[in-house]
Amino acid sequence: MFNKALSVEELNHYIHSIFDAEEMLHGITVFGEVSGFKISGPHAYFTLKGANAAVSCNLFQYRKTYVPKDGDSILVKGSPDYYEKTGKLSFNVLSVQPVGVGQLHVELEKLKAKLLAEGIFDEAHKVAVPRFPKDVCVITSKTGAVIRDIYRTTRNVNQGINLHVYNVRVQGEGAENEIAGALRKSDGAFDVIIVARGGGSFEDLAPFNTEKVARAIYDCVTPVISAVGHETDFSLSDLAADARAATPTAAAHMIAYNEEEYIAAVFSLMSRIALASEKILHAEEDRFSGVVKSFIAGGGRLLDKNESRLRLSMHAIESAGKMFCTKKESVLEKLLLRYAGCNPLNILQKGYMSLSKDGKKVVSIGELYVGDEVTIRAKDGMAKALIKELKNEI
Amino acid sequence: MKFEEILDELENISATLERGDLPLEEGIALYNRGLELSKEAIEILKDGKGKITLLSDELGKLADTAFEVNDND
Repeated sequence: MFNKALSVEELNHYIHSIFDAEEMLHGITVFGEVSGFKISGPHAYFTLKGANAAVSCNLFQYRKTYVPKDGDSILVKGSPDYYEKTGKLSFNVLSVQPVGVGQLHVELEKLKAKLLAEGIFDEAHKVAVPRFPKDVCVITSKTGAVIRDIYRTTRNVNQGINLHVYNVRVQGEGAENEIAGALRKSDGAFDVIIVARGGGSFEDLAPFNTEKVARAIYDCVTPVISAVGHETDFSLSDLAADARAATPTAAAHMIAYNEEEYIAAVFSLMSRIALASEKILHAEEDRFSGVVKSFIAGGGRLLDKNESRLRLSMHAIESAGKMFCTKKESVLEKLLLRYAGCNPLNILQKGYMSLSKDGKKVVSIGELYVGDEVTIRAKDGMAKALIKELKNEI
Repeated sequence: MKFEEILDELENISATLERGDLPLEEGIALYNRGLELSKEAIEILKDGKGKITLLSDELGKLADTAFEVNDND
């Protein structure tokens, strides 16, 4: 304790010497947020703020180190200094290192490596986005340009797709929980899910770079398209998704299909089915008539032995064969008529004609008599005809 | 049934029929199934013309309500 009264100089000098002597405070690192950054000549000055505290900082020869800006989180290395002339304490900064963005990038890379090792981004796990989706869930903010862009782009080519908007916050604290929750809820209920947000800063896109969202996407059974940010932004959600769209508009292009394309695809499959069915019918007929013929030929060689009996059974077989084939033909005809009803693959276009008598389809010669008036319908019209002769043959 | 499932099944039916090793009755049955499916496929396209809805989570189940996109600018 000093017994005499001190001059201000003596007091400040003493305080200064205490700070000077305290080795613990030399060359220390402090973190905080920059505020009031200003440059004066070769030096810079700012305040480093914590949550409930602040300290003035002097950055002499600021060009020698990283130059921060207001709002940046930084690490400063240096020592506190008590300035005797003004009686103020400040921190003399020797070097500045950014945290925040820099640190976040590092953490993101670590997370990415971890998820990659776990197989969250494996191509083998990805499923194809359906070519013709009907119900699409869009997880995004219900306000804003993203949903409007997706809506417009889709409707430009397709009027039939149902868009279901799942409203979530796409940035800020806790947004990742909303997005992951929406993914879990909508999984299995739609043909495809789009998670989308527009462009933004690295921090804005942060929810899409979280483990929660990446895993929720991975867990989805329904195909997921990730459309986050702009062309150049690549997020963990993009990597985990079944497909990545560079922008929300690009995602809409991926799901919107032309309806005529769809109809054409259905009809082309239908025509394949019809052709294959006809072939099966013809093959069956050929096989059967082949069997009958060889039976008759084989029977001919045995004629002498048991002539009358054989003749009888041959007749029976022959007529049974004819009946079989007639039955087959009527089945074929029915099929062809149904097929004809299935536009635009009209069977009449192929050159088949259909026959009717008194407004009723004629499917066998047995239904006709000499002198009957019949109607023949072809692809380009119809004709009336008279039956002149009947022959009961295959 | 969904679009995609119908197309898949039609694809299967045509591939099976094209192999041609089916008994006739099964072939006909498959043909009829194909015809039904293709009708259904076109029906689906016609109904429920392009809604846009807002999903809301009620009692753990997702429900749709009509939604309008601000399409002004």
